[in-house]
Amino acid sequence: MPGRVPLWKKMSYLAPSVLLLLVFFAVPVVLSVYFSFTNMALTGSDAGSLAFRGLENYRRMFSDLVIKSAVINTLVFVVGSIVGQTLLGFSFAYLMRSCTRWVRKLVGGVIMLGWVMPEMVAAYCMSSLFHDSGTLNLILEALGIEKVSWLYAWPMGAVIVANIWRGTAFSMVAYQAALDDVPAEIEESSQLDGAGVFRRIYYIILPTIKGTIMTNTMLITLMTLGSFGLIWIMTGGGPGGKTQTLPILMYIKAFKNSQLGYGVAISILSLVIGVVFGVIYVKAAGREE
Amino acid sequence: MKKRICMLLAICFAICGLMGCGTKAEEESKEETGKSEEASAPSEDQSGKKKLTLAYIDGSGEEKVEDGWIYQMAMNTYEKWDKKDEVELELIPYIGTESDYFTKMALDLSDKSTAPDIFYEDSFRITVDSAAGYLAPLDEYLSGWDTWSDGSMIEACKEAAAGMDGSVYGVPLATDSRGIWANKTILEQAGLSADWKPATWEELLEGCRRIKANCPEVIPFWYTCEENSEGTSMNTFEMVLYGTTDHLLDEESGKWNIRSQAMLDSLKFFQTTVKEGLTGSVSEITNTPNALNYAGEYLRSGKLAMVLTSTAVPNAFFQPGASFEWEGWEETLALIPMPTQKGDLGGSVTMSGGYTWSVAQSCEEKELAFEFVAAMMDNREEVVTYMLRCGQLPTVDVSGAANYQEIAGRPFAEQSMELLENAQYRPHDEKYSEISTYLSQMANSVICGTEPEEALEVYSQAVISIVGEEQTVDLSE
Repeated sequence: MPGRVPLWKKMSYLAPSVLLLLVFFAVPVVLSVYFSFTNMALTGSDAGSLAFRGLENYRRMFSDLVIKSAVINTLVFVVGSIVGQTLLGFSFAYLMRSCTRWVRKLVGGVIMLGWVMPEMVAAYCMSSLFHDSGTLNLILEALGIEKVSWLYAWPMGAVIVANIWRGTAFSMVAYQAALDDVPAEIEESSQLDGAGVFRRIYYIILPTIKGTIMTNTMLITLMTLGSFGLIWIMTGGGPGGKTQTLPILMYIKAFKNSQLGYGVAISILSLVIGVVFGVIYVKAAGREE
Repeated sequence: MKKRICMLLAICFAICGLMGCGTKAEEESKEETGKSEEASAPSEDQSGKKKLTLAYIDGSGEEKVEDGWIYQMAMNTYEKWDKKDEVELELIPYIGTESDYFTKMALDLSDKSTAPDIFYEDSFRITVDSAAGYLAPLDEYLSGWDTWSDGSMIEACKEAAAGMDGSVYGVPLATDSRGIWANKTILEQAGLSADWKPATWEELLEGCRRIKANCPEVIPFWYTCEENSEGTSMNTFEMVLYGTTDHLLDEESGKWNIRSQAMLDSLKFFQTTVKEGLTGSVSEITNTPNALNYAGEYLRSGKLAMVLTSTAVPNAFFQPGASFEWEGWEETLALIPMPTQKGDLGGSVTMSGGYTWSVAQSCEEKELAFEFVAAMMDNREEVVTYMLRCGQLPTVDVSGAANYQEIAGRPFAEQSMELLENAQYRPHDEKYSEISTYLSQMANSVICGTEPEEALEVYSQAVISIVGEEQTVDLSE
């Protein structure tokens, strides 16, 4: 009988991908969890003798003032990015609906540039924008306004703007697709009933694209939580730790302070935060349905 | 339902991304443990020659690697070495910040397949790297080496090259002292004399205030305060703190000082310079890696009055062919000793550090590696040439070298050596290198606006986590 494939055969087809997942995903995750309970170090006597230290790293984490500020920084960075990307992404998508084709292509292309650029290049672009003698200050100077040391006076603002600039394209594409699903006849009839732009957005469009908003928000959250390169290149977590988010702190603890075990424990913390957000979003989405 | 599955998939993807970052530390270490089991390639190449690798940080700023200071010293020695025909030498330069070099070396050394045979090591890392088992003890080779035993090497430098177990893990290459380099013309313009010597911190600050008032275009005082930099700990913070009675570590009891009035005072000293605008812009004095380059440029163009830094800096920065070539700098600049807090304790303070050549524990030809190091140090002409270019002070007696006059006649040579005689050294303790990273973070955060009390609290927490509460002492109680 065709189609009756023995179980072992089915499993053997699966085996390569299962193996890859195990080796490159499951094992590192399990090892990470294990190392977070050890005194693992880059150098010094601890480097020569890996020892199990129980909850020491985690206990330390709860009283560490730096962790507290890093968690707050991370949340500010994430929330700022979500708000900015959502507002900008949606606005662009909405406004571009009524544009001619070539305007759509041009504007869309420009916005996509930030997204397709490698992180490294994007971060350098933003650094040179915000630098003391950078583009932004040159413009201010030309306008006769006093220069601002952006990366020192508003470091968190600068990295959030950079992240929004990079991520807006992603949100825009998502909302463009969602807006295409909004039935034109409902919008038209509401327009005939006298609803203005904002009322139409609030009562007609937003409820229709709720699912996309949720997914988009969740994806931004999880991408931003793990963001390292952008901040590291722009500010290095400084000045004075003001842009030190959890990934940056993890790197500094592991590779600058030599405390690998503690660094890994911090990465587990950021994983937990990611999972918590994920569960909240899934729960929220489930209720909607 | 479909939507929910999509969402779950999306979460899985995003979390994978998050983990990609999270497991970096651990992946690297996995690589280490994995590779160390493999037999490392034999250090002989096909032609039957033995092979030595030498890793170093190239801070010369030369465009071509071959023009680098260490490259030239090593290669010129190798060309004349009697074992040249038996041994192949491979140089591995690293270009980047010192802090990244330390991280890279620690990672490389922990794995036999990536560890170099010989490498350039900052003396403060000897204790920690030897405790990790990365370094080979050199005692048995040193005893047969005349330069080590005939008194031609500075004792303090030899001591700094010892590990916590008393064995020697490095051959001292260079050392330096620290002080304030001041532009005499500006001092005079500000109404201070050309030979002005502040006796206390307050006098120094007062001098800065006068410069600010009388020469408003000039930045009075410069120091570098990068985050995560040993330079910040030593050239900046310790130069101030060691001018008080409190040091980082009480060497007798072995306890670390986590809180004291003097520590707060030191932090407040820096806070004052920023708050009153007596130093450069925060973005420039904390810039990695350009903080010191700004000082070089400003000093040369007369926009800066004083800089607190190593005595090696002007010689390396301003000589002909160097990055900030400045004819007549030695006539314009004066070297002022850094005063102590209250003018007591001998009146001035200087910290001394240095660099060594170390041999990796994983090196298969340790004796040969040591012989090459000894050959480099015994090639006194090359040692002198190196010192002339990098500006540092030799750890060996170079008076027999053909080019000795050049180094003896170098500007401020005598004064730099004088400072060295009363120099203080960083804590000789395995934990120092880790603690020092927190020290630089503390100083940096104060410069960037954190209150000293708050920054000190973070530092105390970190030190306790490193050495344990029983190994610390709170001097403010």
